[in-house]
Amino acid sequence: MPRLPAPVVFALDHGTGERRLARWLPGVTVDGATRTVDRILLDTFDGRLHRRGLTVWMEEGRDATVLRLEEPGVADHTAPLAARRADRLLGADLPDGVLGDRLRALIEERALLPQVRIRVRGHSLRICNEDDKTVVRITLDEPSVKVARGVDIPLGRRVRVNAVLGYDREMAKAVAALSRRLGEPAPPLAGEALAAAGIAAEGVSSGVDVALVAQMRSDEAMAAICRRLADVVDDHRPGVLADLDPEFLHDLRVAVRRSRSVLKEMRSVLLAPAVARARVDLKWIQEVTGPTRDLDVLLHEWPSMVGPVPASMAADLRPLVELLERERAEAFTVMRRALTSRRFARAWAAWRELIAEPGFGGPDAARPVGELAGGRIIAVYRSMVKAGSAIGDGSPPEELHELRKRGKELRYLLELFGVMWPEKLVKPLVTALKGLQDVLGHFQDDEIQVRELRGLGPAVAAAPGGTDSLIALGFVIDELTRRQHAARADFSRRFTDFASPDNRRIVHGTFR
Amino acid sequence: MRVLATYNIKGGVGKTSAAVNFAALAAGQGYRTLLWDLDPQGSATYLFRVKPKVRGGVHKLIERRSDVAELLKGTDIEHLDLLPADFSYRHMDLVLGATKRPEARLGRLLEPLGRDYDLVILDCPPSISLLSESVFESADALIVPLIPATLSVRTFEQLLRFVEEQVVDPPEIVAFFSMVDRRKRLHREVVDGVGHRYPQVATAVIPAASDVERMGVERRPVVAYAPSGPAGRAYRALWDETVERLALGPGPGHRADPH
Ligand SMILES: Nc1ncnc2c1ncn2[C@@H]1O[C@H](COP(=O)(O)OP(=O)(O)OP(=O)(O)O)[C@@H](O)[C@H]1O
Ligand SMILES: [Mg+2]
Repeated sequence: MPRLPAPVVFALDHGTGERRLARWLPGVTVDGATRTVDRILLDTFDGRLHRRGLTVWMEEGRDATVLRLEEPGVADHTAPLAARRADRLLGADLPDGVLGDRLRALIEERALLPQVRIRVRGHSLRICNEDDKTVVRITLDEPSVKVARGVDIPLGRRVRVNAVLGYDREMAKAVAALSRRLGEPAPPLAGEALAAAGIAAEGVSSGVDVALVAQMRSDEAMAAICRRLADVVDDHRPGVLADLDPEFLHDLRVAVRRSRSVLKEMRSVLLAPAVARARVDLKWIQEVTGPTRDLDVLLHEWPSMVGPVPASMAADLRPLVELLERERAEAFTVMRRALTSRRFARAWAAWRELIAEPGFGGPDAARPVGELAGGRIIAVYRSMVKAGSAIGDGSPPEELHELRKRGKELRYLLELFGVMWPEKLVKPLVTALKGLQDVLGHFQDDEIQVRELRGLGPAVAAAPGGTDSLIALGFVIDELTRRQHAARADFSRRFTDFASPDNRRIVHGTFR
Repeated sequence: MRVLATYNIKGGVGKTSAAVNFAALAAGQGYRTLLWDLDPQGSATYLFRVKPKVRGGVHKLIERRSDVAELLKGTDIEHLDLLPADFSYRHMDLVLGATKRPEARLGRLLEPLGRDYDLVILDCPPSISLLSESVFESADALIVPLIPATLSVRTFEQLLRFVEEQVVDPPEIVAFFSMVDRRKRLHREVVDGVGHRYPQVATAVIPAASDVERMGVERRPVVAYAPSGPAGRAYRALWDETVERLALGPGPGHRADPH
C-alpha cells in the first residue's frame, strides 16, 4: 500500500495488559476480537532471506494462506498463496506480482523451506479519533513457538502498533507514547523463535572456507578440505532424498566432484591403495547422481529451449514434458536407492575414516601445501593452454569436453586453495576461467541435451499423437544445435582471454 | 485494476449507498479496493468517518500537483481505502476544463495506483458534466441505480444512448432498481417490465429499507452492521451478480491479513 508507515513492535512485560495500555494511549478502545494465527517462517536451506535481512512467513488464516514479507522500516507486504505442498515452495509456487517476483529473484532454484512454526494469539485494540474513526490499530500478541508435537515454548509478549493509511501523525504519537514506557522496539519475532527452537538463522552453506596457510602440511590441509566437503554432502543428502529442490543435488554433486578433484590433484599425499579405493567410491557416487541431475537441468532449461517453437506446435510438446518428468522420477528412484544403500553407507564411512586422521603417509604428505597446490595450479593451467591452443575449427567436440574437465579442476584448485594467495592476483584468473568455462559448459550441455532428446525419439513416436510431438521435438533439437554452434563460435575469444600473456604471467609469478 | 463508477444524472437515487456497500463487500473478498468520493457533498467520506479535507484541494489534485497517494485514508474496513472529497470539489468542472484532455484526466490520476489496488470505485455526484465524461472514459463499468418510475427509465435510455454515441471506449453498464417497494404496483410493473427490456438491468434489486437510511447514523456500510437484513442481503446479491456480469473474478482471498 502506498506510504503506509512500518509497524512498530514493543516487548511487553507480564504485568502490562489492555488496561495499562489504555491509560498510556488516550482514545484506545478494545476491539474485542482475538485471533490466532499460525505462522511458518520460511527461508532457503542456505539462509538467503535471512542474509538480506528479510523475514518471510507463511500465514495460515481461517480462509486463506498468505505470504507475508517483513522488512525493517517498511510496511509488511502480503499476498495470497495457493500452496500445493506445505513442506516447500519453489519459485513457481509463489504468487504472481511484486512480492512473488522479488522472492523468486532471491531464491532462484532453491525452495523456501519451513524453519520454525509459531502461533500468535493476537488481541486487537484500536485508537479512535473524535469521530470514532480508527486511526491506529494495535494488537497484543502472545506468540509461542512449536518445537515438537504438543510442545510449545512461549515467546515474549509484544504490542504491535499498525498504522492506518493517512493517519501518520496519530501513529507517531502512539509510538512515542509507548516508547516512553516501553523503551526500544522489540527485536524481530523470527529471531527469538529460531533461538528458542535452537535453529541457526544463517542456514547451511555449501561454501568451503577452510583457513589455509602455505606452510601447512599438505595432508593436514587436504584432510581439512575433504572433511568440510564431506560435511556439505552430509548436510545436503537429506534434502536430496526428500527431493526438496534441485540445488540440494547440485551442491552435493559439486562437493563430491571437488573431493574427487582434490584426491586427484593431491594423490601424492596419500598411499596408493587408499587413493584407489576412494577414487572408485567417489566416482560411483558421482555416477549414480548424474542422470537425475541431467534431467533436472533439462527440465529447468525446457522453457527456454521450447521458446522458439512455433505456438501452433507448443501443445505437441506436452507429452514430451510428461515423458521427461517420468524419466526424472525414475532416475530419482534409482538414485535414492543408491544413496540409501549399504554400498553407499560403507563407501561413505570408509571415506570419512580416511580423511578423519591426517598422516596419510604418501611421499608429499609433509610438504607445504602452498608449494604442492601452487605447482598443481601451474601445471593444470599450462596443460589447458596447450590443449586449448591446439583446438581449431575442425577439432572434434571431445577436445572441448576434455578442456572443460581440466578447467573444472583448475577452478576447484583455485576455489579450494586460492585463499593462500593475494585475492587481487587470483581473481582476474578466476574471472577469465569462468568466462571460458561458461562457453565450454554451454557447448557440452547442449550436446548432452541433444543426445538425451534424441534418445526419447522412439518413446515419443510410439505414444499417441507421437508424430506431431516428434516434429516439435525436431524444432527443439534444431534450436539446441544452433545454440551449440554459437557457443563454439564464442570459444576462441574466451580462450584467448584466458591464455593471455597477462594471465600467463600472473600464473607463473604467483603460484611458484 | 478495474474501475467501477456509480452514476446517475439524477440525485438521491442510491449511488453513494451502492458505492460504499460495494466497496465494503469487495474489500471483504480480498480485493484491494479504493473508493474515490467525487461528490463535493462528501457523503461517502462522511459514511467512513473521514474528515472532508483534501490538502491542496481539487485544483492541485487534478493539476497533478499533489501526490494522490498522500491523500488516501485507510477506512475501518480491511483492504478498503478512501480518497475523500471536500467542498473544493464543487469546482471540479472548472478545473477539469482548464486541463488539456479533461476526459482522460481521471484515468491518468488513477494510473499510479494500479499496483496497489485491484478495484477502484468512483462515487459520482448527480450531474452530466465534464466530470461525468471523464468518468465514462476512465471507468470499465458504470453502476446505475434506477428508481422504479417511468421517468427514470427515460433517463436511463438517454444515458445508454449518450454512452453509446459519445464515448470513445464505452464502459459496460450494470443498472439495478433501487429503493424498490414491492407493495407498490407501479414498482412491480416497472421492475418486471424494464428488467426484461434491457439486458443491462440486474436481476437483483435493492429494496427500500430502513437499514439503508440508518447508514447516516451508523456511519458504516449496511453490509457491516446489518449484513443479514434485507438490504444487506440485497447488496450482496447485487454485488455477486455484478462480479459475474463484469467477470471480475473471485476475490484474491486476502482475508487472512490481520492488522
Ligand atoms: N434502498 C434504500 N432504502 C431506503 N433508503 C435509501 C435506500 N437507498 C438510499 N436510501 C436513502 O436515500 C438517500 C439518498 O441515497 P444516496 O445518498 O445513496 O443516493 P445518491 O444517489 O448518492 O444521492 P446524491 O445524488 O445526493 O449523491 C439517503 O438518505 C439514503 O439513506
Ligand atoms: Mg451520492
